[in-house]
Amino acid sequence: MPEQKPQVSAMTMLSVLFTLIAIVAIIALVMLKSKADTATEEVSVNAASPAVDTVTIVDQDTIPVDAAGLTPHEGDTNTVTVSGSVSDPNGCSDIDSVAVALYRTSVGLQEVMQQADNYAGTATVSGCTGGDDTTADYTVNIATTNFVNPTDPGSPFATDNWTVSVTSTDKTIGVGGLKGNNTLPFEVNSLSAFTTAESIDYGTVALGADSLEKTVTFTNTGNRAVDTTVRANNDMTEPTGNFAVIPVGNVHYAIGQNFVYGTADAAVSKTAAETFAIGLAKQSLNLPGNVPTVDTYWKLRMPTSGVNGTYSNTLTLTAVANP
Amino acid sequence: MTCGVVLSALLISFAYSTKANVILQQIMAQNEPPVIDNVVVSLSENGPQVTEMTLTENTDTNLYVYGSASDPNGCHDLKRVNVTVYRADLGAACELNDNNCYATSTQVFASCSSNPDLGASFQAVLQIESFADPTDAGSPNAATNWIARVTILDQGNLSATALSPGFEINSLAALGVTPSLDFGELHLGETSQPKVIYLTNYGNRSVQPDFVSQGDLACDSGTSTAISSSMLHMHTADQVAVCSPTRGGLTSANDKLIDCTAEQIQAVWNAGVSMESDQVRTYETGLDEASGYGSSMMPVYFTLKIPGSGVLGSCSTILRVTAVAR
Repeated sequence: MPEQKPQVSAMTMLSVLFTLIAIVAIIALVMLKSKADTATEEVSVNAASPAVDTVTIVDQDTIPVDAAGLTPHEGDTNTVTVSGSVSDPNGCSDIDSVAVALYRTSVGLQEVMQQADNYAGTATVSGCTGGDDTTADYTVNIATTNFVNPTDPGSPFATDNWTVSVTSTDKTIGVGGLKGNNTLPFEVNSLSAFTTAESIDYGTVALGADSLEKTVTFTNTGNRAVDTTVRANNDMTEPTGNFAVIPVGNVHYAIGQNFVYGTADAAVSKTAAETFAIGLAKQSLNLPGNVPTVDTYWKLRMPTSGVNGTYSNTLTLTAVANP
Repeated sequence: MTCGVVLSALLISFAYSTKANVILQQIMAQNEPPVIDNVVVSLSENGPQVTEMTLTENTDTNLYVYGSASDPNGCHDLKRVNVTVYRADLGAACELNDNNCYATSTQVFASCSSNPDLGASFQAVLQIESFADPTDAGSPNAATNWIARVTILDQGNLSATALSPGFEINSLAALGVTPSLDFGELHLGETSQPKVIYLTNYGNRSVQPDFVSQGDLACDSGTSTAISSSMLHMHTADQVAVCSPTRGGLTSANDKLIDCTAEQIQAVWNAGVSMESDQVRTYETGLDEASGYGSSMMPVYFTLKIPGSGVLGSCSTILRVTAVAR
C-alpha cells in the first residue's frame, strides 16, 4: 500500500501544473486584449407643469372672503389678500411667476380693468429653498373699490358670483412657460351707503317765516344705487326747555330745487322712517368726477310764537338699495 | 349645534350692509321784542290805579307798579323789568333822588307757566319817602304830576317801554318836634337860660311853624298860681347868639348849654316873642323841604321868667306846634 502512494502524488502534481499553465495562459490572453477607455451617460427629464395647490382670500379685516363674501368699505378700498402655495415637480425654483385675478365670473378676466368687475395682480413667491424643494408660497394684495359689483341675493347680479383665479407659470422655454391654475368662487356683498354733510344750519329765522332753502348733497359711497329714508329723533328743542318745541314736521324736503313749502315736498317724521326717492346712482368707473351725487332741498317753517333760542335735533338718513 | 352652525354661515354669507348718516339740524328763532300790555300804579298789591297819593310823615309809603307783559318768543324770554317813578316834568332820564325820581327793578315774572305761554305779570315796589315832591293843587309843582315808566327787557336785551297813568302826590306839611322843654329848677324872679327844641320837616313842603301855648303853666302845688304863658318867650338863634355865638349851631351837642350872664339873659328875654296863651306865634324862620330824613331841621329857643311870688312846684303847659305849608 505504501508503494501506491507516489503514483497518486505524481498525478496530482501534473494536474496542478496543468492548471497553473492554464491560468497563466488566460492571464496573458487577457493582458494582451485590455486597454484604457471612458463612458458618457445622458438623461433627459421631461418638464412638468406647475400646480396651484391652495388658494385663500381674506379681506382687509382678515374676514375670509370665500365664506363671508367681500363687503366693500364705504367710500374706500378694501384690500384683499390672496395667498397660498404653488408647486412644481421640477422643483420650486422652476416657478417663474404667479398671477392672480379677481373678476365677476360671467364677465371673466378682461384686459382692460374695470374696477367694478375686474382686478389683477402679480403675487410675490417665497419660501423656495431650491434643490429638491418643489413647493413655494405666494401672496398678493389687491385693493378693491367701494363700487365693486355685488352678487349677493337681491343685488342686480345675484345670479352671478366672483372668481379668484391663481395661475402659476414655470420657466419652460418656447411655450411661455407651463401653467397651473386654481380658482375659488366668492360673493361680493351689497353696501348701500352715502355721505352727506354732517349738519344743516337753517340760520336765524323770524317767527312764522320759512328758512332759506338748504341743499343737502348725497354722494354714493357704496356699491348699490340707493334711495334714502328720513327720520328725526325728536322735535327740535332748545337747551333750557322753557320754550315751545319746533315740531319735527316743520322741516320739509324735496328733490326739486326752489320748492314751495307744502307743495311737492314731504315733512320729516319722528315716528317713521319715510322713504325719500333720491335716485342716487351707483358708481361704475373709477374716474375723477365719476362719483354719483344728488342734491336735495330742505326748508324749515318757524312757528309763529313761543319759540326762542337755538333749536336742534338729528335726522337719520339711511341708505336703501334701489334695485 | 348643527343648526347653529348653519345659521351662522347664512348670516355671514349675506352680510348686506346699509349705512345710516346722522345729520344735526340747527336753527335759531329770531328774537322779537316783548310787549307791555298794561301798567298800573297802586298803593296796594294788585290794587286799583292810584290817582293821588298821600304820604305819611317821617316814613316811606309803598308804591306798587304792576302790570302784564308778553313776549312772542315765550314768557320765559322776559328777563327784567326796570321801573322809574318820577315827577313827570323831569322826564324818565331824571337823576335818581328821593324827592322826585325813584327807580327799581325786578326779575320776577309771575304766571309764566310752561311753554308755550307767552304772557306773564310783574310787580315792583318802591318806597316813596315822606318828602317826595307834591304835585297837588297849591304845591310848587302843581303844574305837573307823577308817572311810572316801565321798561321790560328780554334775554336778547330787546325791550318795550310803557307809561302808567299819571297820579298826584299830595302835599304833606308836617313837623317833628323835641317832645319836651325842661327849664330846670328856677328861683322866684329868675329868668332861665335859653332852652332849645328842634323842629324837623317831616313832610314834603317847606313849612312855617306856628306855636301856640295851650294855656298858662299850671303848677302842681295846690297853693300856687299858674305861671302866665306870656312869661315864656320864643327866640331865634340870632337872639341867643349874644350869649354864646359859638355854640348856637344846629349840630352842636351843647346847644342846650348856652350860658348867658344875668344881663344877657334879660336882654334875650326882652327880645323874644311872648307866648301868650292860645295865641298863634309864627316863627320867623321856615323849614325847607327835606332831601332826606333829618336834612331839614332847626332849633327854636325859649326862655321863661318866673314871677317874683305866688308860684310853687312843678309847672307845665303844652306848646302846640303846627306846620304851615309855605
